[in-house]
Amino acid sequence: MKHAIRALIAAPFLLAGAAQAMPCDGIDLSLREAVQEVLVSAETPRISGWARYLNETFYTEVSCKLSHGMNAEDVLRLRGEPEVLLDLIMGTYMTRNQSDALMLMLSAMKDGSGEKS
Amino acid sequence: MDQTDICTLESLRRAKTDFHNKLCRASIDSDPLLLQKLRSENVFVLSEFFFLLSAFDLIAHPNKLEAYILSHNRQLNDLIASDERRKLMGLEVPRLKRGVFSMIQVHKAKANLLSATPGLDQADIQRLTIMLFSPETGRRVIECLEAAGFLTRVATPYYSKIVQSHGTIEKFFAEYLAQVRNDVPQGGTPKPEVQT
Repeated sequence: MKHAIRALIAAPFLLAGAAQAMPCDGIDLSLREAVQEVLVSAETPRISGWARYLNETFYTEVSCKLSHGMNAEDVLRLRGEPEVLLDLIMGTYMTRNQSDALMLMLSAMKDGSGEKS
Repeated sequence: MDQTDICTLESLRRAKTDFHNKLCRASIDSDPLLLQKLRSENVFVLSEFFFLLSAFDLIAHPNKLEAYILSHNRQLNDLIASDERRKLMGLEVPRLKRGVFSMIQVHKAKANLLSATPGLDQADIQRLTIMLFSPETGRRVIECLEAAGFLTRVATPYYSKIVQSHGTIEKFFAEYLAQVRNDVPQGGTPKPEVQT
């Protein structure tokens, strides 16, 4: 259920994002097929149903965006974990503020060096 | 208009632009796509990671590295347990779990520092930067810095890749910080820190 809700939340971002696509180095058909396979084979019926509903243009757009950080092999490793793929897809459309994560990293390194954080 | 604020903002922006310009000029490959990637925010963030590793001398001391990794694990477990904090940071549980080190992985990371080619395994870097970006994005940023000649990845017989920095990105990052420190106008009245 949680995954299905996430999928439904992700869909509008994906569709809106299609209008402001980043330039793509070229269509990676194997990557596109891998994205489709991971989502269509999701155990949660609402994710797999939603994935079947989307057309080729959508998958081309998503694989174009993912190609800046992943290849087909990377995507296929997420078979059985479609929610991780959805997280990554959303990440390509929304730039996350990394400052809080950088502060945590600095604090962990301070701990490692023996300095008080 | 507070001129000090504007000057401070200009200093920050100028120093960051200069940092990326230096990376592009020092790159051994001038492919436009690579140079574009060198100007990305993820490159800046990974450079900060390498700078801090060097500044805290974590690669030279296995015990320090272990303490860092254990602190990193605690942070991830805290976030996994805290729904609210995790959502504020825009992170998901499956991703955070991919960043947690097992005790065997902690020992391997320490052992890598004592090998003939000391350094962090690429997979360990991907775990340590899991809050910053996905492992796949982390690998691409590492590959980008390697293509530019700033890092070397050494394949080991154990199917791991030890990442060794040549020190350039750390140097440029230190220069970026020094530039910010020197350029920011002195004498402004510091405002109280805002608690959020």
